[in-house]
Amino acid sequence: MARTNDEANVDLETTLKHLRLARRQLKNIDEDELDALPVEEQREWARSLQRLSVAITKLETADLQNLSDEFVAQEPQLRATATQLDDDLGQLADAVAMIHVASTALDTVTSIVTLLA
Amino acid sequence: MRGSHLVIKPVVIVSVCAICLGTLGCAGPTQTIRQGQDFCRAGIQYTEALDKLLDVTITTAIDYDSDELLRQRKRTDPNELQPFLQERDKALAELVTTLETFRHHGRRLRAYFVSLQTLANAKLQESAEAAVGSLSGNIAAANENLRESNRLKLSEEEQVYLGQLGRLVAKHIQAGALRRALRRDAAIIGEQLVLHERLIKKLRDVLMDRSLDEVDTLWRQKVKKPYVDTTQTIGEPWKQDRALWIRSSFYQEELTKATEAIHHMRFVWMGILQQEQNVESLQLALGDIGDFTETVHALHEAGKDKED
Repeated sequence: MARTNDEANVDLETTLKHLRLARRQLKNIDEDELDALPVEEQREWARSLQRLSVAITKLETADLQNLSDEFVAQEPQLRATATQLDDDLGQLADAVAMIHVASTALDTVTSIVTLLA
Repeated sequence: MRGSHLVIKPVVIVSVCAICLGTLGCAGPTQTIRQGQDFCRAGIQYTEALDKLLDVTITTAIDYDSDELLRQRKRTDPNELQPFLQERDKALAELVTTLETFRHHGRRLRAYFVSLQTLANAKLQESAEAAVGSLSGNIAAANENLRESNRLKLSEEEQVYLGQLGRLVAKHIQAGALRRALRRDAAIIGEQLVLHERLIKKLRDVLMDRSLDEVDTLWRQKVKKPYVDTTQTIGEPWKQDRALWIRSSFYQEELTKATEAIHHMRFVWMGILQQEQNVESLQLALGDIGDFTETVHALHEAGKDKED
């Protein structure tokens, strides 16, 4: 059965949570304690930290890219709404302009009638 | 050409105005316009907070990664130093590039709010009052010249009144346009707010992870350890480290600002949507942002506990 995006997101978030916790535990080892370890174990500590951090960064990037894709998918609609708002504003201005035109036309009619009288 | 022209009775004008007022909705126009203005202000405030939050997230992610590389450096096999660094560089660069894309998405949302703000702040009422005043003046002048027996003659007082009525009608027209725009865009902006809420949550997670770790390490290694070790002399560097530890809580303050902005916006938006049907799912999706602030406060309190 195909998994939904939400399920995939939850899995990703849970995995990230576990990895972050593991990294924190690894980094909480005191420097003095690390110094006391044999060199090979210190190197293994460094390798583990490297693997965890790279995995966390990559997963965070993938997670954010998924979200960014969703933003991109909605962008045309958002652009269209902004354009419609500009049109709305234009229509409001048109309403006032029409009153001005009527007023000017009336003024012209009055002038003509005055001339003919 | 006499007789049939320009026979406008005051009752006709008043009736037209009344119809306009009646058909443009029952909610107060001033309230609608103010609501729209508030919403725009919140939206713009949010996008500005988002930009700062992205700055903080990017800086924190880079610094954290560099600190970690420095710490693991002396325990890393010398043959692995370069490949490790290159691997970190590549992964971090991709993360930063991805985070930068959200500035664009924020700007796009900001553009919407700026357009909406222009609509809400449009000075239509003054223009309409002047235009209607001018129109009524010309009606009076035209009637005077046409010398119709059943002409409409407008006194100066009536002309002022008509001008004011024009302002009132314009206010209703503007409120109606704003209301229609808000309802029309409800679903799209609602979806945007949901996406932004998710973004803030993800940024919060990244920042929380880094800052929790950094703050802990800083306090343990640079503040507590030298302070309890009475065999060492501590002075200015220790004070600087302690100040840095305290300043690191500003990250959480930035998070709080962003949360408050989107939190406020959600309330305004929901107020607008309450006049619509089928908004329950959107309201649910917009929920739980309050938890964000509480978590940030909890972290702040946790920091205080560590200090004690």
